[in-house]
Amino acid sequence: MADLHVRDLVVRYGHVVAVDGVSFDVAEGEFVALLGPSGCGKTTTLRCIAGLESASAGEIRIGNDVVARDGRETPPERRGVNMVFQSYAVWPHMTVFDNVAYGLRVQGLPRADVQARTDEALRLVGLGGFERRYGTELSGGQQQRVAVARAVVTAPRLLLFDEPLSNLDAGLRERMRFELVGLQRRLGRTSVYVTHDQAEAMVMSDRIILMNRGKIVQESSPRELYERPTSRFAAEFVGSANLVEARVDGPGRIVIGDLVLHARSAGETPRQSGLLACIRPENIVPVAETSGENVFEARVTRVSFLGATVNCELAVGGLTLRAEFPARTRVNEGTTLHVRIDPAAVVLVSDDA
Amino acid sequence: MRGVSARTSLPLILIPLLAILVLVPIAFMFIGAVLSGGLLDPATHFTLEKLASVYASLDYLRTVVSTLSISALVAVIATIAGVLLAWLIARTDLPARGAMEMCVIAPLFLSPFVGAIAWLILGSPKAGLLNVLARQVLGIDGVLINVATQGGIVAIMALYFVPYAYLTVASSLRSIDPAMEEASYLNGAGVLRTTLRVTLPVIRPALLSAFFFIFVLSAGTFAIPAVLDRSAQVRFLAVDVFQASATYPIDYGRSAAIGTLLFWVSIVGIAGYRIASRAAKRFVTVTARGYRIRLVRLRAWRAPAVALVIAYVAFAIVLPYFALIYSAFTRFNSDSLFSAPWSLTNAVAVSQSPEVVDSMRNTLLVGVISPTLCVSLGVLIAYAVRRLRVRGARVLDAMAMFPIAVPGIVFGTGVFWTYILTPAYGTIWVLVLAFIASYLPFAYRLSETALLQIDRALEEASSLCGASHSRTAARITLPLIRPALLSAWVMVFIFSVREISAAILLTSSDNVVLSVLSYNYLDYGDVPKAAVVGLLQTVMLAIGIVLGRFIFRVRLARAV
Repeated sequence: MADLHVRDLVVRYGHVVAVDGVSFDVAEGEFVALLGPSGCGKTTTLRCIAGLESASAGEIRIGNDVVARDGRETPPERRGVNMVFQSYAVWPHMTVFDNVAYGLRVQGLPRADVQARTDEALRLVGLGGFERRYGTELSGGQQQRVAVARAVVTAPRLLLFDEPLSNLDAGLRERMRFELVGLQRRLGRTSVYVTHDQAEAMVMSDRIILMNRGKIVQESSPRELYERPTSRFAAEFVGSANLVEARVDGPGRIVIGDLVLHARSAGETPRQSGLLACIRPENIVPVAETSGENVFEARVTRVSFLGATVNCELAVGGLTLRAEFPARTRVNEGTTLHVRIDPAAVVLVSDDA
Repeated sequence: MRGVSARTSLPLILIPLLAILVLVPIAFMFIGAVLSGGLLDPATHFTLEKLASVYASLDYLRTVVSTLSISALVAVIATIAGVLLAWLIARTDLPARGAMEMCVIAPLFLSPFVGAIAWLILGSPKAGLLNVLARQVLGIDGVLINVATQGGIVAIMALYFVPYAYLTVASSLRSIDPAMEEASYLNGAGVLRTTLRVTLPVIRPALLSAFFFIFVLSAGTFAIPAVLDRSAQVRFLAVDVFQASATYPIDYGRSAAIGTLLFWVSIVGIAGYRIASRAAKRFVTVTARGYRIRLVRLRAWRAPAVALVIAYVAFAIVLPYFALIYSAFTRFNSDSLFSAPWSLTNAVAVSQSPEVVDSMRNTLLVGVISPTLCVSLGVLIAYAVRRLRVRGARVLDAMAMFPIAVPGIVFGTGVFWTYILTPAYGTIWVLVLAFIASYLPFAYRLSETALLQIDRALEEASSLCGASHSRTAARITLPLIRPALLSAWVMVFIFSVREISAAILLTSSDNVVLSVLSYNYLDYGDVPKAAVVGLLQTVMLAIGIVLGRFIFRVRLARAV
């Protein structure tokens, strides 16, 4: 096991810059997700860490070993890392046992050790009894488990995941999220997890590194990322958000549309232009009182019932805001009601679009 | 650090190796064409005389025109037949489509040369079985069919090249989105209109590429015109290359000069083929699979459609093999067609004669060594190009594909000039050298496609498990592409066993293979002996195909 350090990583393909100066650290035993839309450079970053892709510049260190610097790179087979692939990459010409035992046999371990450790890895992922099956005879979820067992069996210093759940159907995906996290916690392996699914990243990781266009946009805990996005991109990519142009009016006070709004974070932001107020729909709450701090009259222009919640479109002070009310709230299109926007939940972000 | 040494060193070995195998023979052919005599002759000097006698003579202009028109005609006929068969099998409710498809592509695995011998037996003007039958049974006085004519040559060539057109068109039909045709039906168009206005235009590039491929194939075909037209009335470049080097007055320089002319014809044809193929790729439409296109109901046309396929099989396989067997196992003459006694004596005597035994051994050796070396080289180049991404990968790719533009007889001329002074000449090794180079494009392309089709992650997973490059190649990559390599092996085996045009230029007393022996018998006028040897060769091919198909489960249709 080891920590990971990535410094100023750049990957260029001709004129295209896929990864543009990315730096981050992953502590020993930490589970970090690289999150971003497709083409943001997250997979390329992961593949550089694995040694499957060459860095054009920058440094990658695993523990005390520099594995990539100045075009000198340790080949993947000598990095002591292992990876779970998006396509699982279960070898179709080998049995489940042979797939998992492969890395141990490469290490030249005695037969008994190979047997014992492979059995243990298969038990760990719940595939005991499947040893003699071939990869092609397994379901997607089972292949996924083979891939995980194969990756952990070699006791890698670093465990890498390349969108491992994206090929599973929705129900199984949710179950596997918890299983993978449980497994990682039990093994305590330093892990880097690439995904474009924000829910997956939120549920699984200690820390999320949000990427866009080859650069890191924000790096924080899942809660922090959701509650305190620092840019339009972060606010829009993680969860849904009302983003409206805002002007700081005084300490703790901003103006959006015709509304003067109290916002805790307003004092912290010295910038006056290019600011957006980010208001999550669930932070717009229907209230009985008709006046007070951040209480406004709103007209309901559209209602959609989603089961657990009711989503509404509200006309407030010349703005159109989306709100998410608890399902028991009775609202009808065309009616008026009063809503309160929690001053603590209004976040100012830079308009980077 | 990863693979850096192999990336630089491998091309340093492969490029010169390919140059010697592929380019040097062609260069030597051009040199041979401007020399007055053999390479050993001290009086040999530079001359343009041979080139002039070929390029600047009205006589050869006629040969070129005749070659081009025969090839174009063959390509048109074979392509039309191929389209019709492909459409019937891919788009209609023709019964037993799987079996029908096997029947249509079966001639691919047989020897066109042996087929030509069979058609000589069937359709020569006087003693041809069909003509004798026509005289005796139908009372027709003249000649029913005569294969020793331009029309006969065109017909028989087209007969044996139909499968190439079929495969190209069928794979194109299967790769286009059926929804395009379904949309046409929903817009009110019928089957005929849909086929003419939607299907055919969409597969037009595939039709063109089939046309050019067969055109090049025909232009380089030596066996069929040489066998059918024994008196060489119909002028054909490939036959002239051989005649110049085998019949009096023997002139290897002129043979080389004609070879260069055929080379240019072939290059132009291949250029057309490549342009058409590239266009065809653009028309491939990726679709969500999982549903089959609604099949066109043939109704009353079903019987004629089945009859068409059966007629094709009858003309390409059944009749010819019946004729060969009849000729090999009876002593017939035109009076005793129905009462000829069947006897094994002739066939057994021929099979046991030392020259046949020797040539069987030679054929088997060449048939095993060539595909083994050829596929090994092909997969090595493919691995270097696609996996190691070596320096000069494009050069390697171009060199490995180059022989596809060189007809066997042209290559044979070049190999002859290259190795005549070496100890390899006159041994089976000179044949092996010629065959490796000739069939390298097939072995290379098949390996390359197989490599492209396996998920890179399968190999990357092995690296991350700590396996070295060579271990990954041996334990993961090779096992995964093994089916493709076996197909390639069987395919090159078939090509090598039935090959005649290069072999006949490189033959000497010690390296006679079955096809050359059969041709020699034919040359002496002993057709039954030629038939026996042709059948022996077919048996060898059949054993190879059966082994490949049922033991190694090779999917041969994929290989072509």
